[in-house]
Formats: sequence, C-alpha cells, structure tokens
Amino acid sequence: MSNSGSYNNPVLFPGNEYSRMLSEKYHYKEWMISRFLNYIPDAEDLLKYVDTKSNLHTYIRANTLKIDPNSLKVRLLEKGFKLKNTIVDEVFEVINHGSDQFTKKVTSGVSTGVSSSSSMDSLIRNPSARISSNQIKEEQSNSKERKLPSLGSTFEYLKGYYYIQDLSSGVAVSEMDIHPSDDFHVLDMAAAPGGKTTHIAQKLNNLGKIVACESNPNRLPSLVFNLSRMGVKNTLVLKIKSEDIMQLGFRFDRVLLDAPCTCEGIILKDESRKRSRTIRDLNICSNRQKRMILAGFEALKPGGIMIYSTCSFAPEENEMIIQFLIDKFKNAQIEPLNYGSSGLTTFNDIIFSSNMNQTRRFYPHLHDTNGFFIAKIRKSTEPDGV
Amino acid sequence: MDFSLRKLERVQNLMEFRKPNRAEKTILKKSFSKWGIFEYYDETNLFIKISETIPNDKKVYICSASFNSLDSLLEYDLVSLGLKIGVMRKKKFILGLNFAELVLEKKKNEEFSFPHVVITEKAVNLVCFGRDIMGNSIIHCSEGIASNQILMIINKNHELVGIGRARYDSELLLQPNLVTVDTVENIGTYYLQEENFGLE
Repeated sequence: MSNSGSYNNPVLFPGNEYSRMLSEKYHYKEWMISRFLNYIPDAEDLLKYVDTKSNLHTYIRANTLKIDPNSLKVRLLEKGFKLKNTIVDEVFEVINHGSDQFTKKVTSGVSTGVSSSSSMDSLIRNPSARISSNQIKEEQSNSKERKLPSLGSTFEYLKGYYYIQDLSSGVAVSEMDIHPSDDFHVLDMAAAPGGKTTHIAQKLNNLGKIVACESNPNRLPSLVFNLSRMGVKNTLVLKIKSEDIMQLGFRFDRVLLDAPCTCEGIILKDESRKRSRTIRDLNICSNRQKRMILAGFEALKPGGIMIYSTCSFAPEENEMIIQFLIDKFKNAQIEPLNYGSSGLTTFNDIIFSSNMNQTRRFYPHLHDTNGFFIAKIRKSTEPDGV
Repeated sequence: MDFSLRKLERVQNLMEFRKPNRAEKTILKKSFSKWGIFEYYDETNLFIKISETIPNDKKVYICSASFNSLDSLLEYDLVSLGLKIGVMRKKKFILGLNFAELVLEKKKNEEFSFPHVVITEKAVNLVCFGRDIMGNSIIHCSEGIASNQILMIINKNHELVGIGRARYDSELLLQPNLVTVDTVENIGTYYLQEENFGLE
C-alpha cells in the first residue's frame, strides 16, 4: 500500500554532525548529503568513489547496424585499446582509454572492498577487474610506447561503428524486449543526443518505426548527427514536447522515457552538480516527469512496455513517479528487471507498492556505472482505470 | 495533366516530406544507374524535403519501408526522417556520404565498377580531417576516371573515407608529389558539419 498523499513535495531531512562533516569534506550542499544518507547504501563510500575522477568508467556500444561487435573489438584491440565484455552483449568497457588509467585501477582495486547489495550486482562488478601491481607496471610501460587516440576521434568512431555510452543506458534499452519487425513502433520521449535511440534502432535492425521527440532546439542537431553517423533509417525526429505526444493520435509497442532529471547520478562526470542543484530543481523535474510518464503511458498500446529511467538517485524522480503512475492507472504493472539493486520500497514515511523492489537502481560505487534508475512498466490489456 | 492534378502536385511539392515526383524519380534513377545500383532503386524508400535555406535545393532522404507517403506522422513538424543521402540541385543529384555508403553496401561482394580511389592508411587519417590526396597516397584507382569527375575515396578494407573530385584522368592520378584528388566531403568534417549545421 502506498501513502499516496505524501509524495507531492521533495523530502528534506534534518542535518547532523555527520552530514555536515561529509558536506564539508566532499563539497556538497548539506541537504543533498542528508538525503543521500537516507536512500543510498554506504553513502560515504559513494561520496569517496565519486570524489576520485579516475573511478570514471568508459563504455562503448558496438553499432550492429554497421559492424559485428567482435570485429569491432578486434579492430580496437589492434589500435591498442583494451576492452572488457559486460552484461550487455554489444557493450564493452574500455579500460585504457585515458592517461590516468593506472591510478584509476589502483583506486578501484581498493574501493572494491564495498560489498555488492545483491547477487545480481556481482554479475555487474567483475572481480577479475582487480589487477596486480605487475600488470599495472606492464600497462604503464605499454602506454609509454604507444599513445592512444581519443575514443571520439578514431576512424571507427567517425564511421559510426560505436557509440560512447554508459553501461546503465545500454541495460535500459536491452530491457525493452524489442522484436525487429516492420510494424513494431517505438517512442523515445526525450531522445537527444540519440544514444538510446540509436541503440533501439540497432535492436530493431533498422526495421519498424521510431518516433524520437525532442523539444529543446539546441539539442536537436546532436540527435540528427548521431542518427546519421550510426546509419539509422527507421527514425523520425519530431520537435515536440513529449507531454503532447497524444496529439499524434498514434500508439506504440514500446515507449522509452529517459526523463530529464537533476542528474545526481553523473556527479562523477559533472562535479558542478554537487552545488548547482536546488530543492526547487528537484520539484520542477519531478512535476515534469509526472506529466511525461502519464503521456507516455497513454501513448502505449495495450500489452506494450514502457521503460522509465533517470540518471538520478532521488526517490522523488524515481520510485515516487512510478508510484504516481500505478496509483493513476490500474493497468500499469511493474515488471521485473535483470540487473542492478532493488528499488526502494519505503522512503521517509512513504511506503511504496511491494513490487517496487522490481525496479532497479545502479550506484557508481557498487556497479561501476553512472547512478541510474530503471523501471519496466507493462500496460495490461485490461481497460484503463483512473 | 488537368488543372486540378497540377494544383495537387504543386501543393504536394511544398509539403515538408513527400515522395519524389515523376521528374525527380527520373533524376534519382539516373544517379542510381550511374553508380551501378539501378536494380535497387525500387526497393529503396525515398523522400524529398525542400531546403528551407537554399531555394530550389531539395534534400533526399532514405528511410525504412515502414514509412509511406500517407503516414499521418508526416503531417507534423518533422526535423528529419531516416538518412539524408544527397541533394537535388538544378535537375542534378549531388550525392552525399550516405548515398556512397549505400553504393558500397550494395556492391560489397562485387568488383567495384564505379569511379573510386583506394588510399593508404596514413592518408585515411589525413583525409578524415579534410586534406586532399597526393598521388603517392593512392594505392589503386578505377579505370576510366576523367578529370573533374566525382569519385569515392575508400581505404584498403573497402570502407568509405570520403567523396573526392579527380584533378586528372585515371592514368595521371598516381603521379607522386602532387595533389591529384580534391576531397569534397569526408567522414570527419562531414560529421562535424552535420553536428553544427544538422538542422541547416
């Protein structure tokens, strides 16, 4: 049972000595730390992890529309890149793309002391990633011999053979259960810069139809560019607010809502978010996400699947949005997902539906990905109910 | 053609995205034929969009078979549809890199009969960032290329690197220490341009 009346506003927690200390040490706003302590497992480990730039993991996704993943792997290995397989077949981790790889591996070896929260997590965090000091020395000498090109300037990148994208984003699309066929229609509600859109296109093998919505004109060129680079033929780009998608009078087999959010999960990539976000931003994002998820769910065909994701840890942008949807629609059902830690079932005094634990959370310090949230919702064939 | 049909065609020609009309089809079929892929014309799904910035330019797009001219989605404010393969200007089709990719894809198991040069790996890296091609960088060129002719620049794995214009006939393209092919478009600057001006 949910306490549906209480999740309209972001929740603030009183600070204490510990939160003040962490706030000063890691340069976050204190209200963020107080909140993190209430919904992130081993929150201090996360702060420590995020504070070390070398913990940033880089992943690429092979574009199967243009190249076989193994052929890509061979080509990049020949160029001196070291790739590691991941839980998503076409996604590889690039373990030696930058200059600071060695300190990165050393620190990640230390930080692997953090225990994973479930058996699924152990699938993601590969213990073999820990490397010995001899290996580090070997890598150092190899690196001196050979300077690697940047991942965004290789011939293979320009050819659209791969896309640089986090593993968690790859998981979101791979959970969409896409079947390539001419009459399979997918809606991407916030498409730019096109990472997930191009992934969907390759899952569809350029068949069917993808409607990619983006309302921000400044973000449209990057979307069009990436669709072109990756050779995507089945996508129509619309400049439209995705909340207005029902105007199209079109229903979709799959809907992806990678909602605009406060981006708490990518602080490792963008440190300014430690201090630039306010509680008001959280409120604005949360309200918009509610409008978007309703529109997306309505645009779904009966029996269709919606994937809702954000790169935020905040329950107001994640579980509360899903709870809001399932409270509104009786035919919205949460479906289980394969990877990540379980979603929250309680937050402050709010109790979410019991199957909210089937939603998934990704934490940088536990999963070596961005902070991410994924929920899979099926629209059952029963009539809509409000 | 009676008045109402002509009017209908004129209205259709102004639509955002539409199927090619008869005259445009003829131009496109000629280009497909010129590059040796005429037999694939009927299986490609092409759309035309009038350029907003350059009068009389028509952008040509290729998309999956699931889109047709009656698609209700085409009535909305579309930014793009499928892949842009080139531009039609003054009754001519000017191929873009995506058209060249299409030709290479269709011809991948055959000996290339279209105008092309194969360049060295070192030259590939330079061409990707806009440099023209010296004769010493050309490993092989197809026969029958005339000066000023458009050709495809490919690497030794038969992957497209760019589109060029020959400065000389085939026999003289391999002359050392001389630029013999001008790079018209390449995968590097092309994408940079698309990124900056993707919406034109």
